[in-house]
Amino acid sequence: MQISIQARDLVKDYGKQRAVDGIDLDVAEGEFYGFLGPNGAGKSTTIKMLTGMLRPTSGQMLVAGYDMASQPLEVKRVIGILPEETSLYERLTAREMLLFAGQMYGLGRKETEGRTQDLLGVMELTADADKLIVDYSMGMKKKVALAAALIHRPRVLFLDEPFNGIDPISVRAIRGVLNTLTEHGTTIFFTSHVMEVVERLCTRIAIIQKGKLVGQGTIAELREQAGEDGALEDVFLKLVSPDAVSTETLKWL
Amino acid sequence: MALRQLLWLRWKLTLRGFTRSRSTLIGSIIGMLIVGPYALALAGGLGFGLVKLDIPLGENALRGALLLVAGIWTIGPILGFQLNEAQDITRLFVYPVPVRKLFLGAIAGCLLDLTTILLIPTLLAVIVGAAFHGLTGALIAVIAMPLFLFQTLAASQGVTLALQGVLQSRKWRDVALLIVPLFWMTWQFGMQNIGQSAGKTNWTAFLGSTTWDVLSFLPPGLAARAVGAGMKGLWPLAIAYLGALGLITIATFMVSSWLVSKAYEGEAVGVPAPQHPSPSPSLRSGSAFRGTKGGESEGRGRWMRESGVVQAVFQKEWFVFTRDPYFRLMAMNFVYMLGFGAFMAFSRGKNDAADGLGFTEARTTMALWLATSLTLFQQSILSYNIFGPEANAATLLFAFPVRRRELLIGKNLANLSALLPLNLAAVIVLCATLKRLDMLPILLPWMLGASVLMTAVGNAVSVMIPYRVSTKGFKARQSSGGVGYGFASLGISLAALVLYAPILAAVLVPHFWIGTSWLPLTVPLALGYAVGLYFLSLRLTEPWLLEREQEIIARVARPEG
Repeated sequence: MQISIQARDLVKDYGKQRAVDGIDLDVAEGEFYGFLGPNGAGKSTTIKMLTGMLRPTSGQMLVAGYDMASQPLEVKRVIGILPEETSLYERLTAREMLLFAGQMYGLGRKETEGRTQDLLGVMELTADADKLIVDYSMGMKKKVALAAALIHRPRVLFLDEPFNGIDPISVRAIRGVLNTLTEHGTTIFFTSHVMEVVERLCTRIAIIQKGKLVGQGTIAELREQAGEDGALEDVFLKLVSPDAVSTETLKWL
Repeated sequence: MALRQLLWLRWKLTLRGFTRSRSTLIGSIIGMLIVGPYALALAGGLGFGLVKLDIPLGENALRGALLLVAGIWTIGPILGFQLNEAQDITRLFVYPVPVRKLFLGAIAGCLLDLTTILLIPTLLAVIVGAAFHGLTGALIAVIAMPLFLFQTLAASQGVTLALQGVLQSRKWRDVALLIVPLFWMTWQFGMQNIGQSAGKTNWTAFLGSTTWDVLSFLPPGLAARAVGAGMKGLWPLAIAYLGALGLITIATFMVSSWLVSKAYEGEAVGVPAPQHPSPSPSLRSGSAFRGTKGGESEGRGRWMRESGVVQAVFQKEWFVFTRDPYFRLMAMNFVYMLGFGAFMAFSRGKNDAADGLGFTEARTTMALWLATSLTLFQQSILSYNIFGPEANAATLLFAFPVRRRELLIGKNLANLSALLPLNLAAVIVLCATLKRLDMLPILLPWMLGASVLMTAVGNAVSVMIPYRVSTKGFKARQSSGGVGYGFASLGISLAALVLYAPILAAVLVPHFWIGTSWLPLTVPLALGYAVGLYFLSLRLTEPWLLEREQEIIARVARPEG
């Protein structure tokens, strides 16, 4: 098994607050890896560190065999990123944005144009391709950002809440794209709050809580760790919040 | 009860604005120190005028002052000012509070704004000034001034709400960025002309004109008329004016409340229609991923790939230049600076001509250096912060696996191609207009060399001291890092001025001391020096940039939420 993403004792402090507390990750090539956790658990911070957008306080990261600290450009050459907050040039059109991204990844003009056209079609953006991104809805922006992350056919794809604000038709289309990618050996590192999607797509899952991993493995392994046979949502709740507040306390409701 | 809660909310938000953001606090203190004396001077002058001047003249002064205040408050929001930063009441629509009460709370909340606080001395001075003419005047003023204030705040809010859809639309903000600087240029030049012709104006005739009379029947005029009548002891007339002002105030409040309720129902004027995704073309799942693998291009050479990246960055920068409001604002400021420099040059020249001196060499030389310095200063704002305008997109830019040298070159070429032709053309036009073509061999090399050097220095400064920029109304805001960071930035920028000395010497020394025949030698040397420093800066900055990308993202990206 070839390791695609590896993190060792990864730590990130914001002042006195420890956002990520010594996590270890091993994600195999071609895996669809779900990274779950409640709000503020450290998911986005971890993704930012793994993609070189945030410097870790300590720890080591290897992505596609490259060391993030010493070979950041090599890492960036083989990864695609969809951050939680889309970071696009909003005064470009979607078409211009994708052409720009393709060229920045070293694709030829013709090839970039072809892929741009394909991606605009898959993301159902063809009709709006020549409008400025600033005038797009949140879901449309997310689709452009995802298309820009895919245009160079990355070997490792980091997706932070990719389905937020996207309609069900597009979710299905994107899911199809992601499945195709994994079939071709692309590793996908994926965060989402939608357990049903995670359960359906991910081959392995890690659960982070207050900066620490509280569970890691296949869904079956997680069930075993949690001692819970139910759906992923139940397993997740058991692992991150065993003493979950019950609505029974809200009797006045 | 709800009103008290609204005021509490406003108070908390204001307080938190100061306690959570030191720059807001310092900005407010500086604003108070700068604008405060003017507000006090207006208050003092108006109070003194009401006491010492004849009552009719004092009343006219009061009309003028109140008209000015009301005008600024009403037009301000349209021009992008936030004079009264009342909380966004649309956020409160989810609560079961009558819309009129929400609106009333917003107006009451304005009393906590700095701009309203600065207005209060003037209103108090009117009451005190009126009191010198007797109890009637004081009583009328005590009623008239709060009414005037309430009416002005309600009108200001009404205008904002009536046009909120338009004002919040991207297209209006883009247009406003072009209109507002033009408005201020016109205002400034207009005020200069008014100032020059003020002595020649027949003010008595103006005060007796129909225009002034009509203007005086607007709410500020009615307030002033009521106070004037009160000072004269004309009770019935004063009450009649107060009644009219009261009616207008109620009408303003009602209309503005109605507009708020329209906003509540989602029918605010000009609210852009929501975006709907267009009908989908056929899904071609996976078709994007045929062909080459792993981002490899079709076997092009490294040079081709690198020049492709530079070209892509260059092209992207130009798209952004022509579309982003920040750059439009920069362009307007550039024109403004140039216009200001030209205006100074011409007004000095005109004064000299009037004195029989003609366009003296020393004065036109000064004017030309001033104009070129101003344009270079404007250029430095862009060149010294090349990553600031990236904002959140910095995350994307630095995610690309390209040599950082290519990013820098692409950005530098875009900046130079946008600014250098403008700067050089401006120098040529100014020299020709002032009949100082002899200055061209000095100013053209200076601008050329200084621009290249500025780009070189700018790369290093941009990497070491990046800061966030944004546009708010017509203003370009620069933030992040606090006061210490600002001083560090200023200090480094000033220290970098030393690097410009050789270029300046290359044009000034031949001109003043050794003779202009040396220029063909000194100018190429100076340009070589600038180009050499540019390549040195690329070499030095590239590893710094790679090292500091995370810090740059943190500095220039907009805070979440």
